[in-house]
Amino acid sequence: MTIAELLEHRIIVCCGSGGVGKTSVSAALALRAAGRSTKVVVATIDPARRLATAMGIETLRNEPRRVKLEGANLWAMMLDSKSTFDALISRYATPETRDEILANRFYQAISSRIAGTENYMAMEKLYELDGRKEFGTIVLDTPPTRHALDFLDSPARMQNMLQGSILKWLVKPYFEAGRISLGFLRRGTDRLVSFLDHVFGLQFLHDLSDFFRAFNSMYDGFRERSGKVQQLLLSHDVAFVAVAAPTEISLAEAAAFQSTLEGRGMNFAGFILNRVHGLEAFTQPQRKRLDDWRRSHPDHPAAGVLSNYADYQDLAEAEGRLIDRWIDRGRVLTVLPVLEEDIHDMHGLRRLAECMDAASGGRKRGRRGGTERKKEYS
Amino acid sequence: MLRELLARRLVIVTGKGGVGKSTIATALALLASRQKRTLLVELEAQRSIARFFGKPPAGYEAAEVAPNLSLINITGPEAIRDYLQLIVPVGLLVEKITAHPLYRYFTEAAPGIKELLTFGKIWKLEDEKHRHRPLYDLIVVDGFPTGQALNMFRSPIEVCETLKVGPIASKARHLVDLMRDAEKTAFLLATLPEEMPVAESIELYRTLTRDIRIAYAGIAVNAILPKRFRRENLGRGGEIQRAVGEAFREIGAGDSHVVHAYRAAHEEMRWRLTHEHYLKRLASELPGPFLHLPFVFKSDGGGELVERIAAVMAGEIAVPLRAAR
Repeated sequence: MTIAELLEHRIIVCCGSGGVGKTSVSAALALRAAGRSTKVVVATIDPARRLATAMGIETLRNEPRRVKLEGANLWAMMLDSKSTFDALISRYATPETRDEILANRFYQAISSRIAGTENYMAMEKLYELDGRKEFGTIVLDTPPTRHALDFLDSPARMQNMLQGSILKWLVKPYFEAGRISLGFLRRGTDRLVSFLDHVFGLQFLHDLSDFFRAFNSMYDGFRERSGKVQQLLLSHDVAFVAVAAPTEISLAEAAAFQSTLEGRGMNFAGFILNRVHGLEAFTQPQRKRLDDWRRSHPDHPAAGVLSNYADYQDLAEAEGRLIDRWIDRGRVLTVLPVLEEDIHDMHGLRRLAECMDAASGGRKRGRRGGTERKKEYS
Repeated sequence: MLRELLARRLVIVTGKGGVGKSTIATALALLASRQKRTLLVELEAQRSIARFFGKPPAGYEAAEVAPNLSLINITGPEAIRDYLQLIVPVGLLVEKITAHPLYRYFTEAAPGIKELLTFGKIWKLEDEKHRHRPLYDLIVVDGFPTGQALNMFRSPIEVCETLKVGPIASKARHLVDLMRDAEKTAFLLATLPEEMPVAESIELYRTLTRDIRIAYAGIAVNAILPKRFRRENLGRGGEIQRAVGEAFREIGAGDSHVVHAYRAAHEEMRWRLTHEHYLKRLASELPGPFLHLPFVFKSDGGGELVERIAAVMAGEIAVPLRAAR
């Protein structure tokens, strides 16, 4: 697949481990898509402050806002998982239940800090944005997780966690009475429940039972919706991209992501390699002559530039080896170079987007990233 | 810096994802193991640190990976199970509880329990004795990245507030005390000299010292580029450019290499300036000590890299050469 083919998809989801530049890549993809005359939104998690300012989304959270940019119908938003969850509750609960749930301590804990909530809420927001039929292209930057797969598994985990039925079955009579009673616990019909009381204390069980009693009325709606979210992700309108930097951890993660996605029949579009030091490689004799030259000319005015170049040759070679070891070059959508600066404004994003054009065409083999630079510097 | 750092019982390395926490934690532990019995803890590791030592991935039992250095990988489910075994004396009952359909549900749903018991396990290791003295002099934790790390540090505080009574609550209170004991526990920030990691470090420093109240041990700034060039030297048409052209002709490499070499030098200079900018920002917003670590151009990504980083760390202070024990 090429970048141009990728941009034909209605929804593009960027995954990858932390620190690989997912946010910049997502924003640059959105910028590229916006050049194709559709209305585009990029939903991002935690952009660098200067980048957020540049896109005009520093203050407003959780709703798309138009990026001030001539000639591009580009919108951006910052995801806020707590407000997304609250909105979801408000959509399905009756007003009284809603207030009860929102004030429940157990709910507050799961909605703000439970691992996985953020992932699921990113999907939920995606589903909501898609449902508006307002945007031609949606680019989603996923939350930083250690395992990109956490993102994919989040609907199932969320459903599992909020499924009150097991609990309900277990403590049914007490649910109906509204509260877990001490009598029930003392009777010790179930070792686990009495154990939980012992370990967690009654208050926790009360919060929990209050939450599930209230949530129960909306569980079916919630489950139905999360089923639809999963369905959306299985559809071929959605393209998944694994963003990776040329480090072992990041590449290993990206490779694992590809095999899981394909195993699940999801639409894996390919890899975007970011921050790659691409150089035209020396031949071995050239490299030997370079090292000899450096030894014999320690004080030559060019010595600094040459030893620096030797270091970057080493780096590029090591990166190339890692890339070849972990991923299939044929599935690389584009190789993005290290720019000389952090990306913190529209200019930087534009440059990154231009690099995508220059370097797209995943079928090309061998180290890439050098040619597009030449263009800028010669 | 290192002397003070290594005098504690527990050092937790944390920072933004992808800044090199594992390498820093491993190098620190390796250095400590020269004079102390050291335990290195990884949390839910995907790619075990054991690879740095050419060993198979670590499990939930600590195993020696180098002289004086043991490694353990703690996962949430194992920590919870471990805790159950501690408070439920009958083994059969533990089996029953963990096999119960509600068990997994509770361990996933109960906020903070996994993090709390992971933390608890670390402190249990601290408490382990061998012939009446601590089994480990120092525990270095390759900690979670920022968000998850905050969850872990907050977990005992929140559990105290939520549960109030019961064995978990008293365990949590004990953990809070240990965590806030500056003689025993400290965190070491790990960062890169770039915008996002620096911003996150400053924020994390504030939260950890002010809200959570853990002692700060310093900050390791990773992958700093060397200072090689000055802007005026890289001007176009200058002496250097001519010299570079000549040199490449001598070694028989074409013009494209000249362009690339020149570009690499430019890139190096620009990034070095960026690094200097963020080093200054860190210095103005955070107290020291600062541990500056170099960018490594050539490495096999394995043990040799960790040893080099440890050697750089050692250069900051004179590590006593006296053999351990």
